[in-house]
This record gives sequence, C-alpha cells and structure tokens, in this order.
Amino acid sequence: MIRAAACLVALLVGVGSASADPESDQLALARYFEQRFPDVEVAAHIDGAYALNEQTREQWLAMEDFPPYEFSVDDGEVLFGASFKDGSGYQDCFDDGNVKAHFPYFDHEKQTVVTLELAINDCRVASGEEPLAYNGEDIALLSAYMAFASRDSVIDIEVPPEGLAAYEAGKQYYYSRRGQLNFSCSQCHMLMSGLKLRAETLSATIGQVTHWPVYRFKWQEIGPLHRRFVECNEQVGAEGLDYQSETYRNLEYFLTYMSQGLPLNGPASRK
Amino acid sequence: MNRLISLLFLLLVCVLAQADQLTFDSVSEQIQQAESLHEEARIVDHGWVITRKLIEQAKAALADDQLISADELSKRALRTALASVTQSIREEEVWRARIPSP
Repeated sequence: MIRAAACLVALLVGVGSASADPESDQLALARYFEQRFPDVEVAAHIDGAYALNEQTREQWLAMEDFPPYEFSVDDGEVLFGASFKDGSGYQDCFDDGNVKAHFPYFDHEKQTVVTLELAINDCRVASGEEPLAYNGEDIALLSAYMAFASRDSVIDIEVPPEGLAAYEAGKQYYYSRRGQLNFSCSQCHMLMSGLKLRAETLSATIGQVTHWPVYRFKWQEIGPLHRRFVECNEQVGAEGLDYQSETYRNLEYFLTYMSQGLPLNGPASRK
Repeated sequence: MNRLISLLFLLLVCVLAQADQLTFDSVSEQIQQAESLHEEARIVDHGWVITRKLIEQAKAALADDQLISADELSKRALRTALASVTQSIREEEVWRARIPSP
C-alpha cells in the first residue's frame, strides 16, 4: 500500500517534472534556496558553506589573504604558456584562458559533454601531445590558471535539445540515493544544506561548481571537482567513478547549469 | 518487481544450497554470484564500497582455505550486493520525487 502510494506520488511528480526544462529547474532551485536561506543572496552561494556560517567565513577570509592556491595558479600559467612540439600551444585552443564560463558544453559531433579538462586534453592530442592524466597535477594546475583567468566571468552554458539527455542523466544522478548509507547528493546539499555534518557546514547546490579547482587542506594540494565527486560518493559508501567518466561529466553539466548566471570565483581554498 | 523477486529467489537458493555442504567450489560460486550482482549495480553507478571489500576479503579467506570465514564473508557480500541492486531499481522510479517543483 505504502509502495503503491509512493509510486503514485513519484508518478505525479514525474509528470510535473517531465515538462521541466533546465531553465525552470534552475529557477525552481534558486527559489528553493531563497526560501531556505532568506537572508542569503543566491549569488553569495558561490562561497559554498562560507556563505552560510559567519564564523567560518571570517576564518576563511583571513586564510584568503595568503591563498594557498597562488603557487598553483603561477605554475599553471607557466604550463599554459609553454609550446607543444608542433609549435602550437594552449593559447591556440583557449586564447588567454578566460573560457571557463562556457564549460562544460554539449559537443554535437561527439554527442557528449565536454568539460574544460576534456578540452585541455583534446587540445593536446590535436597537436600530437600525449593526454594528461585526469588525476594528475598538471591538469589541475592548468585548470587552476584558467579558472583564475576566468574569474568574475558569468557562467553561460547551453543545453541544446541533443544535450538534454546528458543533462537529465546528471540530474538523475544528483537526486538518486546511492551507497550503503542510502544518500543522494540532494539530501546533503538541499535538504540538509546549512546544517552541520560533524564539524562541517553543508553547502547549497547552487554555486557548487563556481570555484573549482580547489586547494583543500585535507588534500594538501589543488584538485579537480571530480575528485570531490569521488570523495562525496565514498563518504556515503558508494564506489567513486573515474574522473571525467561520462556520468561525472553529465553531473557537472547539470550542476553548472544550476549555477547559470553566477560569477566564477575559482580557484578557491576549502578545509 | 519481477527482477527483484528473481534476485531474492536467487539469494534464497544460494543460502539453502550452502547450508548442507561447505566446499571450496560452493563458496567460490557464492563469491562469483556476489561479484556478478555487484557488477550489475556498478554498471548503473550504484556499486557499494562495502561489497567490493567483502568480496576481496572472501577471496583472500578462500585462498587461505578458511572456508567458514570465506562463506560468511561471501554471504555478507551477496546481501550487500543485492541491496545495492535493489537500491538502483528503486531509485529508477523515485528520484524525480526529490526535484523541487517549478
């Protein structure tokens, strides 16, 4: 009986959301957080949990006086300026590096979501270079520099009709419970956002992608968004996936659209 | 739903089959069944960390000829693998209920 009722509710809600498009999803999510945190502007969520807790925000701002990712940006700039063997370089693919606002995007030819990291490797391969390891340091440094070059640009991505399936897959991943603890991303970052998980305040969904890559003190280095995805998965007892797997790229696509119109503020530092 | 009933039946058959005789082959088969279910969950991004660990531990125990321990671990692996597949099936339907209304 309970199962039947749950199915009916799911069906009714499903009918409602079947007509939803990315834009109305984003508006509904923004409204959700406006109601949940009436004293916090939606744009303030780009600072993650530090937008929700004044005490930790002060500590974080003090830390940002000497940002730990500064050296990564400098090293990334050197890598970005280096030439490939054929004489070309990253500038030929990404101009001055201020391109992050338009990533990820849906590639019509490849019929897949292209993230900045994927594009970096595509650029290298097109020039006869070996692709970089997605869990390696160089790609994190390059994306740190490009995030810095893209600071204050406003996220402006598109979900064309062909990209809708990828967007929906990312959305489904975000709202699905997984792992032995039976948690979905949305339970922590929507229903419990602003609350404490042990000593940490849980951030809101909106603004979660604006500040990557991030220097985490826990990692003692700068790392990509997909590393955090793996960590989140494993924290609920689910197996993490490969960095830049199709599932994670779709998830990034969905999350980035949820932050559409917000300014980029990466790289950043986090505990 | 039919898939779920089949999985539960499979689990029951496995448990009953192992009740009488514990051999290297029977435990090995149980591990393989857990691996197969775990893979089914992994394909749809619902693999659990605990299942992988239990499978590895069961294999190690079996390699050490610790049949009772291997049997116990593989049964637990089978149960968690089944739970992960059940979760994936259930979530196919209910995830939409968590989306905020437009």
